[in-house]
Amino acid sequence: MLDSLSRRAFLRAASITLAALAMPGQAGAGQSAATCDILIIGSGAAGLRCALECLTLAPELSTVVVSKSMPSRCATCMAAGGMNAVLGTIAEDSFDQHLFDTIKGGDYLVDQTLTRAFCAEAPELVHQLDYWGMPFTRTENGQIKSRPFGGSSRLRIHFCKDKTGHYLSHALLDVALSRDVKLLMDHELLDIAVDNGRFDGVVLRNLRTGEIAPLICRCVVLATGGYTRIFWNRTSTPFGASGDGIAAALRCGLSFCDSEMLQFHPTGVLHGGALISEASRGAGAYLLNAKGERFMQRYAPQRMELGPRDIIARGIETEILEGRGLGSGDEAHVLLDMRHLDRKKISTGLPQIVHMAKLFENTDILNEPLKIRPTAHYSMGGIGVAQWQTMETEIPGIFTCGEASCVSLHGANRLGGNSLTDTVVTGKWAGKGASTRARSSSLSAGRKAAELAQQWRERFRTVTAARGNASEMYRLREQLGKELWNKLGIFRDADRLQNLKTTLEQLWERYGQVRVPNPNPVYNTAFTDYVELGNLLLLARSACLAAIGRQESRGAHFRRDFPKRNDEQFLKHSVVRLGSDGTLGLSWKDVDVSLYPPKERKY
Amino acid sequence: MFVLVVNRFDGSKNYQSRYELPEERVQGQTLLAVLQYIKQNIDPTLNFTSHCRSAICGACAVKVNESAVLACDTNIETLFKSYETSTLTLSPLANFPVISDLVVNWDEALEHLGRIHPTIVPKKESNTEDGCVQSQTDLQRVLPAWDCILCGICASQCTRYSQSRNDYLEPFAFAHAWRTAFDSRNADPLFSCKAAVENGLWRCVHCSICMHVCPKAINVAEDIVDLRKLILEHRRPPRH
Repeated sequence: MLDSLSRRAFLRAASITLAALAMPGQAGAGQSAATCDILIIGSGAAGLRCALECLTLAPELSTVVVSKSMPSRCATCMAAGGMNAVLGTIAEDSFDQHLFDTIKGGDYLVDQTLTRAFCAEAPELVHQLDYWGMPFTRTENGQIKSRPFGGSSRLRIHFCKDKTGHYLSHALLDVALSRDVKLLMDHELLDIAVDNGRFDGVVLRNLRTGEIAPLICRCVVLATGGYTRIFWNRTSTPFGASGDGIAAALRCGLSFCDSEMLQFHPTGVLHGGALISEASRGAGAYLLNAKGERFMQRYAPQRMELGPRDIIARGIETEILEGRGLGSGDEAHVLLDMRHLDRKKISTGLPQIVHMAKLFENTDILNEPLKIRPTAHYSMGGIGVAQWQTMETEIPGIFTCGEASCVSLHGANRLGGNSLTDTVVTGKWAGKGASTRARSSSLSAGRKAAELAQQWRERFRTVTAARGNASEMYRLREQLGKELWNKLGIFRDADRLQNLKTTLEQLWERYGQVRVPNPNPVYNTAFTDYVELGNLLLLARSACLAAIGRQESRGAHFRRDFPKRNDEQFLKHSVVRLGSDGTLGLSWKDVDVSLYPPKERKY
Repeated sequence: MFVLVVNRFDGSKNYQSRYELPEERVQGQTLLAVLQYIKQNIDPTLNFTSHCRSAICGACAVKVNESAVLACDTNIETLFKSYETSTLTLSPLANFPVISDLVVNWDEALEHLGRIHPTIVPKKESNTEDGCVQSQTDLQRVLPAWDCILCGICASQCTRYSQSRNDYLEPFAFAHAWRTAFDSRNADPLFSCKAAVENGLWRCVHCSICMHVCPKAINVAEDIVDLRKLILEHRRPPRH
């Protein structure tokens, strides 16, 4: 212990290397393995908030944050709208109102008791961000301002321009750097080792050197984000949103819950799926079809363009399917019109929207309507959590938070503005859980981790040394995205899903043959792409299996062959597990509906 | 026919690769889209980083003919036109250690940013339960520097930092010091100035190139002037 404390004192720099964490005597057989107390994988808002909690609660422990690249290259920085919290500034709002909007938005697949705790925890954590220096747009008397947002019955979303996520990720990074949080950059999670039910460490690949090595820690927190890149070019999320943590969790025996629940944001740019924020509709933008009609009157006559995301996304796809859209095939779209709005307000208040319209569609949104189509946006599904207060999974020592987790706050469809709040609330819970667990647990021998690391080294050699054509891998990735968009997209049915299941099995086999002929270990991004594609395929197969099983329509999951919600059979979370023989199995677990009994969801 | 020449590094040696692109691969494309096309179809060994493809994460900054840009936010057709050429040369950002090809190492840069201590010292009347009070005008004042996405372009182009890296900081670090110092929620504006002074605040040569190259048009040179004024109101300038 003394030895490691002095070593810790020595680590003064913000960023560290795996070698700096090396301790002799670990990982058996006299080999030395790197160690730390708490390892957080992922450096978006959830990971950084978790690290700050660990640092506050357990300053004597060594906490290290692993990033695939560098921390501000995350999905958080792309979030535009804002964060929900009942701050007490809107008289008629309450935790219960926030809770109810979340439950209704999630189509009753939300676990209610923990979500009430989430709503109650949110205000203090938003105020804390203000206290730490994150910018928020203000009211006339200097309080944090709120604005209307899709799916919310009250003014509850707090924001700063249309770049709230960017400000959040940078505010947290600034605090983390100021408090000397240790960052391990350019490292990729390959696997989590579990030895006879006991957490045994993780396997990381140092992208800079190519070195694949175990890291032994008392706890690991998976804050690796979502997996919407399974839709490849039809998603708003960054290229790196490949669900590495969820895939590793599946492989080590953990559950993947509600994997079929993928949120489609109604307004992605037509080419490439980057997001045009809900703030555009919050400001009063219209959605128009080819006839120039505000078609939302057919789908959410009261809320119109401010209806919940899933209903608007289906509305747009229905317009396209029924021939009232513009363009056809991959070019099919509807229009987002802001021409009737105050130009100055748009250009100063929503600069990111103006910029994106120009960059992706060469459209001056102040003067012409923008071509948009729904885009995969958020993963409600994620790693199953055994105890929400600590965000610990079924295996002691393994925790999760943020989009990677499914606790379940978001149910079948996340309420807009709840994702950034989720990152700080579950990040805090996981930090508390991991700090406590780390104090009472010891470092494992790391035998299994060493074994897995050796397997990955061999895999790198096999995949990169052989002859082959890497373009085949990229074609496979494109095909995966298209297949999923067409068959696991906004409208699903048994035939398409069964067809997708077969196709995914074929893609999985093809993936096994993929070779990336570049044996250079130094920052081999083609091999990173290879690892990520493997994760995406595993998660896509899981989501397809659960979508076949859920023979009802609920939230973001819409089955044309079962258009109604079926509470009798499916008021349950889907649970996918990976068997030791490599096959995926589906089971179900109950939803906590103890506070609000299910009702029909209408807007 | 258009040509991209890339200055490469494979971990041990430097070399160049030359990629020929037919006109239709260039039309209306961003530089990032072209790099992705090369990687997926011509040369999978080419390494670069990219993440958000919408100019908000800062991952894809590279140098084109010695001038750094965000690859995702730059139309390549316009680049060829403005340089009046059919050949462009790409290199990794300057003033960062190169890991591979167009990929650079951010360890030192984040360590420098941490040195600044870029967080406010909360006022007595603020607390974690209720946060702070701030007027919209006061917020607006510091927001420009909050646009920083840590892309590293200013560091790559900075005249002073290019001259020597051991007595100066990446310009973005000064922008962070500025936004901290001038935040009305900050009880001790001089706190983040201390490290700025120790790390070269008075060494800026005011060429303003940082502002001209910044994809978010942050005027770091002006921020540095502001910081110097603030410090002079309280104490003498450093002796260097």
